[in-house]
Amino acid sequence: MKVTRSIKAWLKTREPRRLWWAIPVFLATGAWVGFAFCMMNWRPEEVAHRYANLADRALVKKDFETARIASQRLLGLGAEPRDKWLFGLALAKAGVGRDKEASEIFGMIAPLDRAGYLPAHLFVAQALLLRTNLSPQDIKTAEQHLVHAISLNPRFLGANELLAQVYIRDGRWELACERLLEVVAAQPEATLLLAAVFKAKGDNATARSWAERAARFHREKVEASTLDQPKHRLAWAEALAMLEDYPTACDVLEKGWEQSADKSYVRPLGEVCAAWVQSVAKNKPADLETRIKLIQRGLQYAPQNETLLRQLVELGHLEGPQAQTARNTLAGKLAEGKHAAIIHFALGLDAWQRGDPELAHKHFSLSFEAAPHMPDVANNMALILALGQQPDLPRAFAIIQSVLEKAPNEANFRETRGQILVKLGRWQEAVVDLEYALPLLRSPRLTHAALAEAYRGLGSQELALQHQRLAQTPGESGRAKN
Amino acid sequence: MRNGVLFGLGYAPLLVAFFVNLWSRPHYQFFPLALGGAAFLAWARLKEVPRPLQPGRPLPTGTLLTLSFLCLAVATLLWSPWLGSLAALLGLVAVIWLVGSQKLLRAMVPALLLVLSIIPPPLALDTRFAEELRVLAVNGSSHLLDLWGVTHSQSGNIIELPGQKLLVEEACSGINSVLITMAGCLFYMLWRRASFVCILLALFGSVSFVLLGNLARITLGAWLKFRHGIEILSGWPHEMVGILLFGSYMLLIFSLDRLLTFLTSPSRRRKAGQGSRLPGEAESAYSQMPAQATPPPSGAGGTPLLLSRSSWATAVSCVFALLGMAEVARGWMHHQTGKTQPAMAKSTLREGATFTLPERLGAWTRLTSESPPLQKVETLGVFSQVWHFRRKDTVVSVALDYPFKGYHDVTLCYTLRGWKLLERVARDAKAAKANAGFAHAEMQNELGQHGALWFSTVDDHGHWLETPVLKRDFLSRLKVPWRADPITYRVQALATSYTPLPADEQEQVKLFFMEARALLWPQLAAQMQPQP
Repeated sequence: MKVTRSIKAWLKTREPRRLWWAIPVFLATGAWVGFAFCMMNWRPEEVAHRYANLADRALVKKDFETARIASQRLLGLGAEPRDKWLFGLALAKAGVGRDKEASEIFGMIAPLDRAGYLPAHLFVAQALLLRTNLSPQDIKTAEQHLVHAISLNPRFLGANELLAQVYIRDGRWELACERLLEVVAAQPEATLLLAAVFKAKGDNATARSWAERAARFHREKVEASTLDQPKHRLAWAEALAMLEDYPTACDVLEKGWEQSADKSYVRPLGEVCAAWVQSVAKNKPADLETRIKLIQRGLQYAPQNETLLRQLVELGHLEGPQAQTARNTLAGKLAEGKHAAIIHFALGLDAWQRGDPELAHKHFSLSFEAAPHMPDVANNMALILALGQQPDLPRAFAIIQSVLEKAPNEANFRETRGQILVKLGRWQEAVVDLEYALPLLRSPRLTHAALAEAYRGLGSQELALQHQRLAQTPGESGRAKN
Repeated sequence: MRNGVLFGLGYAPLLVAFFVNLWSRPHYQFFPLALGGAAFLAWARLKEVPRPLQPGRPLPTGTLLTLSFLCLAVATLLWSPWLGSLAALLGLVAVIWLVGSQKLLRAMVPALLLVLSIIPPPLALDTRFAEELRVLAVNGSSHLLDLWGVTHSQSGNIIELPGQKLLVEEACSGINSVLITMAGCLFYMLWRRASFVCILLALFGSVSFVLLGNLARITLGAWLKFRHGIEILSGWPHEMVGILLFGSYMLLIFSLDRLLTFLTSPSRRRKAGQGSRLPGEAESAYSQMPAQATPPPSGAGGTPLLLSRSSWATAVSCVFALLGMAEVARGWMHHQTGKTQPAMAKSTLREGATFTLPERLGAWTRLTSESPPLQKVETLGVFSQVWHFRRKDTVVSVALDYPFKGYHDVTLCYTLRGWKLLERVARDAKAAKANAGFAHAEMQNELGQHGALWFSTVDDHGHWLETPVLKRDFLSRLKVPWRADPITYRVQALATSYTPLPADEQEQVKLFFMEARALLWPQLAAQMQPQP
């Protein structure tokens, strides 16, 4: 009662209007209360969760700067698992070009002398194995990382698979089989690789068995989907090729090509056809028609396939007692109107071989008229003939000349002629062709090298040096042209 | 009057040095305002002291004067302006006591308190306090930014947004506005004659306002930068925000005072017989004092007269004046000593001074890159030059920073930028088997990075300042700013890695640091020679 009276008495002596001046301090107090409320609502685990999501998303989106900040925040918050955030930080730093820092962090979380953080070991191993100039030391280091990864989780698929690849690279088939057998149950995609390893090991029966399983698995995947599945279709075809069922393999790939026109089919199609041709040449050497058909079929998709081109060259070498028979067969096929382009080309090669350049020239022209891809085939063949182990420069030159008659301004063809002219020591003419082609080519490294040689031949050392320097600049140097 | 002047001259040389020193500290540059405020308070209160003034008893006066004299003598001997300022304050108290005993002293307490606020406390408490406030503000802002969804990371006092670091320039310093705000609050509350409790509450409140203001500034600045790319944490917007915040603090102090007055002082007439005051009547305890003191009776023997007539007072004043002359002499000696040293003060450092290190230093090769992002050397000098050297896998960054006013502990910068100090040792020249001492620090940050740091600081007289704690003098250990701060220059070497640097590597880096320092010091000294 006394207290209440005192409060009442206190209140009676106050002037409420004076509180107007206290509004700022009330606002400041309100701000402090608000801040305290915020602090009470600040939960490190919630913040860590948000940043964890942010870091993961940013890494997926390759927004490395945000991923870096988020990982740093997580580390600052002491969020667990610490190694995971350090791994994220290392990835982010590598992404923003701070490679040295990234490699230091990797060194910390994936040390070479002991097991660290599994994904980091795996990442480092992958990065090492993806190097273009992979050294034996890199392979050894990658293996060490993978062994650590497997010691952390023996059933970890990625590590087993990669380690199997390392063993395959070194030809340690037994160890590779061990690793792949760990993988196949959970990852049937590895079945095909396992089949290949057994085949390399010389265990053909087991290899066939695994190849059949692989073919079945991938076929099911392809058939289960309404859309084309290039990855599975390619693996299916590879399994079939391993089982030497080339016709089906070829059909599988062609269907895929018709369905999606996916460019990844092109090279395997050429390879399957080449393997098939080789098989026919070995088992049925007299069956020229099948060989011609297959060469034509393969070159349609992969005009740069060297095996097919060599088969075609062989087709032109019609010698010995069967030569006339073969020639007649080809002529008969031509009369039937089948595979005109390839037969004209083979007959052209044969005519050239027999010292009848006029006839050869005629056949080449007819071949180029018959199929639009034949000039590319011819160009690639000329290159093979010019740059191979036993160069046949006059024949290469004859072929490329005939090609250039059809397409005189095509840079690739002019470059090929330039290369052949360099080999022939006709420097001046070579320089004209190569200089013409140089600005139009996507990967002119070998052109520079040829120009260096040509200028050296012409006695212009300075220009030769300049081109030599440019030739040594790293870059693409693809030779075969489509 | 004459005695007063003589007495004041006794303190003058050291006080001048003290104020010059104080002016070089940005957070104390408000001291002229504080002195003006103190004078105003003294004048206001002096009018209210009843006349005639009752002179104080000689014993306390004598004791205080003796203490002041001893302090001043020691300050003169050591040439310590800080100690001189304390002596002056004691002397002032003695004089006040002598003139008006307890009554006058009590009236002068507010002014004395305000004067006290400009004397830096020992152990660098003021700096530490301001730094702690910044740490609190940055931590709080970081939490708020988390709640506002601003992606950021915090590293010590630095907030990092994607692609941008904030608060880098101020990371190593505390919140400077806290001292001036507290001084402003003290002046206002003393002028308002607030009670001791209210003054304490208001001081606490002013600190909280500064903290709140900085919380708001940092949070809002980071948010604006992150969401809209608007920069308010550097350049002229930063200055504008600073002024605005200071105005807000003053308003809040005024507002707090109003609230405290409302709570503590009745303002309505209560029922008759209850002894209440009328509205508008004096509002505090001080108001019970007479508003205007009775004028002193003429010729009643006021204290100044007493002082001027007393022969012992003249003697004391003369002694102080003599000491003042000794101070001038000591100051001159101090100045001359500085001039005869091989190095000169900052002003003589050649403009555009340049320093070089060779391409190779033993087994270390200089890197051409500007700054590997890996190791950020913390530099706070007006000028800094950084070189990066590599030996095998170890990269060391060497930096020369200058000029600093007084000794600046570089580990503090690293600490405020997110490094944790694991170990720190200072080696004098003898222990280091070198021509100069150095300090070595082992650090680690939240990312797990280890930092190994070596540093040496040299003053403008060529004294190397890193000395083991036990070998420092007592006042240095207390971190009392007891003598004029010299201009200093710092050489440091930092190596960072994710694993602690092995002992042999550490030794190599240490040797490299000493070699780099040996190359830099002659260049520094040569460029500090007086210009013809």
